[in-house]
This record gives sequence, structure tokens and C-alpha cells, in this order.
Amino acid sequence: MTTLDRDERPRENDLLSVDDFIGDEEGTDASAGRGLPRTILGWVTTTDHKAIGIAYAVTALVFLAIGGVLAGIIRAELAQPGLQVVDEATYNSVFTIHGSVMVYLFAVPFGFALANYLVPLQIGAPDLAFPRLNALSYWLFLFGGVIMLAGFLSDGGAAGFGWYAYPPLSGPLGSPELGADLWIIAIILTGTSGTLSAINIIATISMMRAPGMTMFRMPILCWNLFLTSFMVLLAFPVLTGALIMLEADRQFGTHFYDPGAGGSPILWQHLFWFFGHPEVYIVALPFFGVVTEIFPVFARKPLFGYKGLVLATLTIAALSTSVWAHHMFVTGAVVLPFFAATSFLIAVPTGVKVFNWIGTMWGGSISWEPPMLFAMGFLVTFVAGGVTGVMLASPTLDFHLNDTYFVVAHFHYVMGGTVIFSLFAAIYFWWPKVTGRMLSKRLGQYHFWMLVVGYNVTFFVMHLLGRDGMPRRVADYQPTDDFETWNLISSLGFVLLALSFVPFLYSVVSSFRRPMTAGADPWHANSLEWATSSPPPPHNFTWLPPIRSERPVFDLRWVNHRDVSAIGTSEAWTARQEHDKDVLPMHPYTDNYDDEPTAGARPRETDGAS
Amino acid sequence: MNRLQLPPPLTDQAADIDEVWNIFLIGAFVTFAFVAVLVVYVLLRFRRRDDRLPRQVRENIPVEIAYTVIPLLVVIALFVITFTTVRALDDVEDADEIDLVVGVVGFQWQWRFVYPEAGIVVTGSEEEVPELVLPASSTIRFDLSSVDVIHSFWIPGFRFKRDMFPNEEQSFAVDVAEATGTYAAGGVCSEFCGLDHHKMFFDLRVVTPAEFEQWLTENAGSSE
Repeated sequence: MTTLDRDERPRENDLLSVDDFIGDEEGTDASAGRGLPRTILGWVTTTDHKAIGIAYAVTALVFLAIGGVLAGIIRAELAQPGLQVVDEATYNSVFTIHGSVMVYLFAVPFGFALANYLVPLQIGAPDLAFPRLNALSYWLFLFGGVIMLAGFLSDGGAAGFGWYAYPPLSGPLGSPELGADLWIIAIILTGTSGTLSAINIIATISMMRAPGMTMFRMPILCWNLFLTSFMVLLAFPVLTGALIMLEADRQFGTHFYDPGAGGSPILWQHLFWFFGHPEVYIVALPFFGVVTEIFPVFARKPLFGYKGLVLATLTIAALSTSVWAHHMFVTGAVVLPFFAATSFLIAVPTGVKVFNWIGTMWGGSISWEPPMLFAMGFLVTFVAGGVTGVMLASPTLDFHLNDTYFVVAHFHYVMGGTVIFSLFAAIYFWWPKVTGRMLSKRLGQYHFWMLVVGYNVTFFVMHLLGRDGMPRRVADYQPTDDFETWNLISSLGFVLLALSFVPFLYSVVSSFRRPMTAGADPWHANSLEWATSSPPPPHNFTWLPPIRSERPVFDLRWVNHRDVSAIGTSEAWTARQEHDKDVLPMHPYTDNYDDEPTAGARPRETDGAS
Repeated sequence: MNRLQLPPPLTDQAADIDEVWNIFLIGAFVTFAFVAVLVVYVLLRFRRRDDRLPRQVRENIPVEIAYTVIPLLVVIALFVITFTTVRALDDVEDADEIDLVVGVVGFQWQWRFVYPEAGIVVTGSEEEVPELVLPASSTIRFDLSSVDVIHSFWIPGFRFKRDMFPNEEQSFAVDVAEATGTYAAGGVCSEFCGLDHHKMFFDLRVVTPAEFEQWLTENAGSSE
């Protein structure tokens, strides 16, 4: 073991670079394909988690675009009173598929895209636990989505009963057209896809963490995806079961939800919202995880209150299974105090998260890169949606506000805003990792400010509309002063919101014209995905830093700094390196199976009878 | 024309609800402003000025306890406020306190109002917007039902709505206040109910009890 003399010891602000550790291993050459499939057949048959992650993300973004176009039709129709753009039947299909696409085909699958690409990288694993099951999940999701949209081509148009499909309206008499059946089958397929993905994520995180990566050293994104997966396992099968019952009502003559034959419409509402409320957090938690990765990096501080944050997420996951009937306050068929109390309570762990994020930045050294801007946009938007959530948790107020544009505003802030801002934070943050190229900072700023203004103008006025008496899901409204004014403002806001995608798309296209010069760790980030080349080679790692905290890459970079992590001094670090070389054999990936070591921490047997 | 679409609270319960609304609204503004100001302050105060590493603070247990306990106390207070009002709303009063019973039937896509004691039935159609006539200063019970899918009976002036199920009658009662007035499209269906959902609204007229008696007499036996 070598020790450095006092004079030779590096100064504490001398940073180590991850690129120096990766070296010129095969596969880190910028021009190499880095393992992504190169042919269509390759993409169709791939089981690589990074390829499937990219496929998930691209598909989800295509669905975002489709959902956005449908939103454009809605805002165009509502810009003025009267029916100008579409007729009622089309309008009803449009808002139903808009909601369904955004929730089932965009928001949740983008969470799975993050899980696919990032979970193995962040925990130091070569792939997900069940790569073929993962491919099956993706294809179920894709075909589910296509089947839902195929409704527009069928006789009678796509399903037109709202994304929560209350029977009897969604039953055989209420919606006899084929589009409704396609919608049900689509959700069954995507739900199954989600359930399989959840199993995969739980297995991967439970069993495949690198040596040293304890649960409490995992990035919060992995924690959130882990807990989200349990919620998926709890919620999705309930929905799938309820949908099979609905389809049986429609096609096989059963009467689960048919009031005329002793069935119960309210049963559907309970089953649906037992899925539906955890679903809100299934959508949101991965995106909470994204910003929790971003704040510490750009504030150069460790996460404030790591364990408190994990505990808050656990509390949210637990409470989210017992708040569902707050969607049903106005049915007069639920116990108001219980569901109001649980709904109020869920605001507490959510508030804790917000203050943890602010605490992370407090006293930090904050750089305003685009990922940080979008994470900030997320934070403020999310709080704005949170406070109206507390209002809606009160039955007293919900009696007036339920099923109005106030609710539309609320969930577009908490689900829409949270997802969109955090989604772009994620894209700007991990783009260099996935492509090896940077996105323009200046275009990112244009994108951000247009989105902030467009988003808030579009959705803030909806609070006023709802409070003033405009119900949701109407193709037309009464021509009164404020309905007209605010609907027009909202529609104009949407134009700006849509235009904000122009700088983004331009930035994406122009980034592909630039060389892959991002390097392994362009942001000076924390977690393990930054300890490999950009894009990562097949099976991800040729080398791993010692994992001694939740910020292994940070610990490596700032190893000379007295404040950093468990390592303390460079002498201690050198000693630890020597130690790790012996007990944590992480060797380069080889094609020869017999040479490939296990990832497990197994002390080498050096002497004794062998 | 009225700048504001929303009618004033038309019932005693609605007045209570508006008080609760104001409390929540102020709370929401204060909370949002607090966090927004904090975020902007943090962004400006702690922006990067040099490449030094800031102090690596990982936790501060008293602060963490404070920002868990204070929101908890706030939501407990909001819960208490909610439930002192919601109990008054959710009770259907004893039958002898009810001055008038109105049956409300929703169907795709219109309303039918039934005044069983006077034998009056008002049915809306696409050509004629139905009108719901109510006496001021009286306690009214609404019996809600639907003949096909789920509708929801919402009078924004009541700050209250209740879903209407096809297999089950729902009731609620309110104390209509003294003020009289006419409210075009004063009530709407707020649960999406199919093709012409947006056409399912009605006019609301609140009249003095004397005028209401006169209206009952004039329209007696108008059942179709």
C-alpha cells in the first residue's frame, strides 16, 4: 500500500475525472454503436434494457404528441362557445382518448422507460432481471396503444365515455360501438404490461445491486421506482379484473354493473378508483425520483434528509391505497370523514418531500442548467397543484368543485405539470448519457420559459372556470362573459405551450449533428450511471467505483476533499481501493462466459488447501 | 351582463361553504407564496459563484421534524373545519322540517322536475330549457334519480352537487335563503352522461313563498 506525503497530497479542490478511470476499453469508442441494435430486426428482437428503455421513451413521447394533438382539438373547440371544430360525438372521443393516452400510454410508460434505462445503471447491474419478460412488456404496451387508437378508425369512433369509463354509460347499452371494446382491451394489455414490468423492477432492485450498493445507498429514483412497482402490483390487477368484468357485461351477457339486472354501477367506481388513486402516484413517484436526482447534482450537495424522503415515499405509497373514495364524495355512498382524513394526511409526506428538495438546495452552489430549471418548474407547479388538492380533499368544497374545470386544473397541475416539467428535466439531464451529446443550454432556456408561461396560462384559468360553474367534459358552454374570456385565454396559452416544443425539437435535431463529446460525466453527477461511458457499453460497466454512499461518483470525484463521504482522506481512499481490488472483483465484461466473474462480493480464497 | 357568472350563495349551507372556501383559499395562497418565495430566494441566494464545494449538510433533525409536524397540524385544523360544516350538509333533515319535496329525474339528455304534492311535472326538451322554480326561505328536499346512466345534479348557487344513480334514489336537503332571483343555466349535469351532456342544463328561479304558491296554483295538474 502506498501513502502520499503531505506535500504530494492533492489539494482538496483537485477533482478526479471519471473518464480517466474508464480508459480506452473496447466499446467506449465514440463511433462504436455501443450495443444498440442497428437493424429493424435487431430492435424488434432486442432484450437489452437500454434499447427497450429508449423504445419505451420514444413510444411514450409519440403518444404524448398524439395526446397533445387531441388536447389541441379540445382547446380549439372550447376557444369560443358553440360547436366550430368537431361534433359532440367526436369531441367526446377526443377528450376520452386524450385522457387515456396521457395517463395509460404516456405518463406511466415513460416511468417504465426511466426504470428500464436507469435502474440497472444506477444499481450497477448489467441488465434487468428478466430481459425477455421486459421485451414482452414493451410489445404489450405498444400493441395496447395501437389498439386504443384504432378505435378512431372503427364504426362509431373511438370510446367516448371518459378515461374512467363509468357504467352504465360504458356498458352495452350506453356505448354499443366497437371503439369501447377496443379501449377496454387496450387498457387490459397495457395494464398487463405494467404488471410484468413491476415484477421485473422489483426483482432487479432486490437481487441485482452491485456489491456495496445497500438499499439506503440507492438513488432515490430507484427507491421510487421500487415502491411504485409495489403499487402497480396492488392496483393494476384490480383494474384488469374490473375491465374484464366490464367487457363480460358488454359481450357475454353478465350484469356486474348493470343496474337493471341487480348489478352495481358504484362497484365499478370503487374498483376503478382503487386503481385510479394509486395510479396518480404511480405516475408521479418516478418523476419525483427524477428531480430528486437532479437537485443534489446542480446544488452540489447531498440530498437533504435521505431517509426522511424514503419514509415519506413509503407513507405516500401506503396512504395512496386508502384515499380512493375522495373521487366519490358526491355519490353520497362513501364514508366522508375517513376518506377526507386520509386524503388530507397524504399532503404531509408530500410536503415533506418539497421541503427536502428545498433543504437540498439550501446553502448549496446552484447552477442553472436546463435540467435544474425544469426541476424548479416542476417544484413550483407541483406545489400549486398540491394546494388545490388539499381543497379538493375537503368534501365541503368538493361538493361544489368535483367534476368541474377546477378539478381539471388541479390534476393538470399535479399530473400534467409534474410529469411534463420533470420529463424534460430528465431528458435534458440524461440526454448526454443516452446519446453522448449535449443539448443546447440556450434553447433549453427558451423551451423552459415558453413552457412555464404557456402551461400556467392554459391551466390556471381553469381554476376560475370551475369555481364559476363550468363542468368538465362539455363540448360547449354558456356564452357568458367570463366563460368566454377565460376559455379563450386558456386556448391561447395552449398555443404557446405547443410552440414551446419547437426549440426543444430543434435542439434535439441539432444535437445529433454534433460529435459525441459529452464524456462519461458531463454534469459532475452522483450516481453510478455516470461511472460508465456515454452511451454505456453492452452490459453497462467495465469498471465500478467503490460504493460507500448514495453518491459513489461524487465521492470519487471529490475524493481529496475533507468533507466528502465516508472516505475522508486520500490515504484512506488508497487503502480502500486496494481493499476493494481484493474483495470486490468487478472485472471487464468478456465474451468468454467462463471468464466472466459473478458480481457478488466474495472474498478471494488466497491460501489454504485447495 | 354580470361580470361574474357564479351566483351568490343561494342557501344557508352555501354561505357556510363559502366561508370554508375562503379559509382554504387563503391557506392555499399563503402556502404557495411561502414555497414560491422560498424557492426564488434559494435560487438567487445560493446560485453558483465559484467552484468551491459547499458544506455537505445531510440532515437537520429538528428542522425535519418541524416541517413534518407543522403541515400535520395544519391539515388537522383543515379537517376539523371541514367536518363542522360537512355534517350540517350531509344530514337529510327530519321529514317534519321539510317544507317542500322536489323530485329530480335525469335522463339522456334532459331534466324532469316533479312537485309530487301539487302534481306538477316539468320536463325539459331540446327546444325548451326546463326551469326549476323554488320558494325562498324554505327547507327543500331533493329526491334524485336517473332513468339511464349516472348524472349529477349541480346548482352552482348551492355550492353542492349529488350524483344521480339509475338504481338508487338519493336525497339531500338545503335551506334556501331569502334572496330571490333568476339564474339562466343555474343548474347543470356535472357527470359526463354521453353525447349531448353539455345540453343538460336548466334555468333556476327562486321566488318568494307567496309567488311560489301562486305558481303552484297556475301550473297545477300540468303533468304530461
